[in-house]
Amino acid sequence: MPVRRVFLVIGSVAIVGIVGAVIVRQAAAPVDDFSRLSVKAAEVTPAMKAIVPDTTGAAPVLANPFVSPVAETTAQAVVPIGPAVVLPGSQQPAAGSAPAAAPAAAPAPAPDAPPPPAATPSPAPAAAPASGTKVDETALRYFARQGDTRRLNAEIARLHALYPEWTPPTDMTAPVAITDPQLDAMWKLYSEGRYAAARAAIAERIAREPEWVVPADLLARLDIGEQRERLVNASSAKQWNTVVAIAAATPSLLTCADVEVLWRVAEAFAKTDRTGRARDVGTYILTNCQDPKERLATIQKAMQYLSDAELNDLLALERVGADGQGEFAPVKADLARRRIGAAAKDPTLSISPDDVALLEQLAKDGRKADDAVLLGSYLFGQKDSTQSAQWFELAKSRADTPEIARGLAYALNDLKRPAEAEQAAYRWRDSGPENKDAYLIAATALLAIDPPAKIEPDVLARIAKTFSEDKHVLGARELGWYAYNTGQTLSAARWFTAALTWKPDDEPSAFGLALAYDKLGNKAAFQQVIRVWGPKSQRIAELGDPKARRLVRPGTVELPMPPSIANPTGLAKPIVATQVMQPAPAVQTTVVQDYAAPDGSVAVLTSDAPAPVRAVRPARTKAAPARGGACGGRVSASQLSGMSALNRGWCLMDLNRPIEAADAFDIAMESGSEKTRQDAAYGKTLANLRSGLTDAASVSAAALPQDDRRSVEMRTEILTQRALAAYNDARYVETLLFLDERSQIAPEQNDLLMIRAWSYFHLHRIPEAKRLFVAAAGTGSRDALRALATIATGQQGQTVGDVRDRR
Amino acid sequence: MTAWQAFFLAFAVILLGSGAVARADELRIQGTISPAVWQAYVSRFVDQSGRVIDDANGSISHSEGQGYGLILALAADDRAAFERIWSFTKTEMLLRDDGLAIWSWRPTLPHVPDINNASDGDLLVAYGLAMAGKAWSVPTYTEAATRLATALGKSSIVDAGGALLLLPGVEGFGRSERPDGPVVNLSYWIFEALPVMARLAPETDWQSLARSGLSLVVASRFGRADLPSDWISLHDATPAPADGFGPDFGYNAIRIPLYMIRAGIVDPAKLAPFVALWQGAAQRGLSLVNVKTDRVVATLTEPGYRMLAATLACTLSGTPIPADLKLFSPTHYFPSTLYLLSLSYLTERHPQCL
Repeated sequence: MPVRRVFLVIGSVAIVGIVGAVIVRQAAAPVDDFSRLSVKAAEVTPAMKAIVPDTTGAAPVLANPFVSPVAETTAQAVVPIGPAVVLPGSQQPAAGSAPAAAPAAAPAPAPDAPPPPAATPSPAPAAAPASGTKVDETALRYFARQGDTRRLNAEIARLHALYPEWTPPTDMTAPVAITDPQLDAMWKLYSEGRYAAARAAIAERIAREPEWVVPADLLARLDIGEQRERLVNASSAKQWNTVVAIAAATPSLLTCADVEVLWRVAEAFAKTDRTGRARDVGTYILTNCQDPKERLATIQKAMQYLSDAELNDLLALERVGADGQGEFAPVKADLARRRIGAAAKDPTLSISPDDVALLEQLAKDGRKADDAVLLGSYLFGQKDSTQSAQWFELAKSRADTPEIARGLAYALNDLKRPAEAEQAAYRWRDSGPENKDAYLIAATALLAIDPPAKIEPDVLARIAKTFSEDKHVLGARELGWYAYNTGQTLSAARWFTAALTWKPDDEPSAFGLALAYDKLGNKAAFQQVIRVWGPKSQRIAELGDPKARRLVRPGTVELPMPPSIANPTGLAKPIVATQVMQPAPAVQTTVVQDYAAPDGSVAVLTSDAPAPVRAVRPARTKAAPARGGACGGRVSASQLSGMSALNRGWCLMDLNRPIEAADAFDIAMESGSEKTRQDAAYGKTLANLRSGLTDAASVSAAALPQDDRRSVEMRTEILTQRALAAYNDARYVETLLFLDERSQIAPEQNDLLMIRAWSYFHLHRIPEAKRLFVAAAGTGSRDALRALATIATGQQGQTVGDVRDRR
Repeated sequence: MTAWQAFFLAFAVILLGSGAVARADELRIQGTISPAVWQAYVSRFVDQSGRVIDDANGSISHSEGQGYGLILALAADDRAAFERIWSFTKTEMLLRDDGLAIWSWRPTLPHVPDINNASDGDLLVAYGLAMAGKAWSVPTYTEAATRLATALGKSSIVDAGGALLLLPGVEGFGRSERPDGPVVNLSYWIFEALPVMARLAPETDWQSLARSGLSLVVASRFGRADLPSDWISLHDATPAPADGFGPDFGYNAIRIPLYMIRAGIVDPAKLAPFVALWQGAAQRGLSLVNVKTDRVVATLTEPGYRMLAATLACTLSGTPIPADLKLFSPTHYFPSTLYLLSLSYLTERHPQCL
């Protein structure tokens, strides 16, 4: 509903009713124009100055503020007074029609309005006509004497509506002889809000003096007062329909003299899905009511329940002061916060740069974290994780809350900085499900980095502990792969087992477990996985195809195995009885032990020196004696400076002496220069790869961050080596997996194409193998031609030799 | 058709014949309590704002207490007190969107932490307003009573397989809301109020509600002593003590005989279990009984409780009220209220016992 409709229609009754028009006019009288008011300064409170009109003045136009030119203009501009609204005050009391009927005669109900409640007849209007021209000013004088401006104001409005010809007395605040002390006491009770006591006093007096007639005005005021109490109580009890019903039945409550009631009515509309009406109440206040604090509070309250569009209707009614400052300036920041907060929840909302700039300024200047958190949340939704992380970092420097930890973790994780994300999320991981999720996601992402990242033992231990406690299947699986890829195959089997114990139908973990058993060389355990999972998973079935793989090596280690595999029917005794893992609690124990030595130090899964690598490397070093000479003479590598060592490393690489090169790069990595260390790490990765030390390579690759090109290069090389290693071990399914992954980031050269084709061949995917051999043969590969011939004669090729040639 | 409903149909014929809900039997109430007794009550339990205070329950107030206050103010012919109590009830409790009263009001903030209603409180307030509206010729009281009666009929009186039930509250007691629902409280059937409600809100079959209440009184006889529990499940064919409440003939149910005899229901067969239990209780005190174990869980010796037994004995056998019960001295809100309700009834119907 547009702003121009100043008057609210509540239910079937226009608020305008008895008071609306009066208030509009009254309110439109400029409050600061004291020249128009006669003031008895010593007796009148400042607030009263605005509402005590001067009727003694000679100027007829100004004599009555209700009909001041300003007021007329305002009223005509905004008020559809006329046939639409029946003003009780417009009826002639002498005409004999009871004004009590006025509310019922108001416009027809709006479609979405509740039916008006059965009317509580107001004794006051019923009695009003009988009083004729004599207006009871007792209450008026009482309120004036008490300085009760709110009630005085309301009473003036009410009386004027009842008696249009009436003008307020000029001497309201002058002492008046109290002619009826009992009645005065009743007004006193009323003005103190002690309505029950006032009613009791009336009843007692009637019992004592049956002839006494209670002033209709008093009863009317008591009714209104009680209904106000009821409205406030119903509002506090969230009985919104009652609030609206009372407002509809008691329009005289709805005045600028009692803005709190208007606020509560607006809230009741909003809570009953009539925000348009709630906005109309706000429009009414901002068009008609003068108190600056109340006007500002109207906006603040409206912010809680109005939509942005509806709120903008109200903001358009802002008055700008002589200093050019808008009256709603103090809530500008809150408005920006509100809009940005909404956009944080719904990233599709568009936000003005002004709002963002304002909030950024506030966040920088302030000492609290809230604004920074809001910005961080908003920018994360806008996919600007870099800035988001910066704001969360700022927030974190000011406060330590779960929300900040969570926001920072997600932003860092999004920036591919999962180690920091894990660190950020750790402290508050147990503060609630949202923070737990953030931690699990960050920790899982940290483990999933490819090539595997170097993770500090204590970090790894706490990740393991959290995953165990939470029985986090995805995390356990990821820990399994991490262990697998860093040469900790037994640990890998344990974690895959844990994942399968918590989620027996987790196929990826079963796949991982099969690979781990295979790598450990335990045929029985491996076959058990194939038996249980083969029918359910093709890729696991393929692992077990005897024609597609070599026989696995005999195992010597006691293996973990999830109950769902050890004993798939749940009936028979586990086949590999001594190898069965217990359900969750035992898994947890095993897992923790796996990473923590009995003395508490983390023993196993430290990724900088995986056990198999350690075992292999010295042998290789011996196998490739240093020749010196061309790359730095006889100087011992340990005597070289960082830069010299680096150069020597590259030189040795050129001579295809990767093991010596790795030693040189090791020395270079001790160097102080960041750039040198970074290059050395890169060199060492390549050296390890060339030595066939894939796992060591992936560790050194993660030792220092590299730029994108090098990262891709190293990852490509690692995948290449892994594919070759798998092929060498006759693990053809895995070979294809690595090749597939590699093909995502780098083109597949002919030699790898051959590996792929032979893998298909061994997996009995002959048509696919043949297609690739044909393609390779087309480029002139003799190997491919030979392979095609082999296929044709049903013989197997000399595949292992092919691979070794490549090194 | 369940057993109690079958019983209800058979019983309905007798009840119609007895004319238990006929207008001639209705109490007048007005002027049955002396100013001195009333002042003693008011000064203890009604504050200036018109709040009736349950001093044994953290000084909270409830719609039931406000209803009792209105009825007793009429009994004392005290219009000022009535105005006071009604003003509070209206402004602080008649807040619900459905037109009913919130059931409890706390002196601390928030005053109304729970907006549920209690249908006996609504019924008592409506009854007090209706009776006062008639006695003092105040149309606004009658109108307010009519609104409450209409709202109660709409929201709290439900048809359960042909018989009408008074749900204890709008929320939480219906068939779909509890595994053992519907659950009722027989002491919420203020029998004397039902014909009055029937005149205010004729669209609800209050007479049928009265009949179902009486048939439930006879059908809900648990344990060796054949007593109703405070809360009764009507989920199965036969009534049973409801789950989650103590299976006691307790503080609620002790009001059932009073409400029956106030409504003119004095058939000894229907009151037999209460008469048997309350032999000598006017002197020794009222027993609260666990109807599952048949154990006495408490014995209430305050005069207001003993007055219930004395009133039953007077009504059925003409036994005079014991001398020590003839003088009112307020103890706590609940027994004191029961005392005044008994006294008011005896004054109107059996003054010879006093």
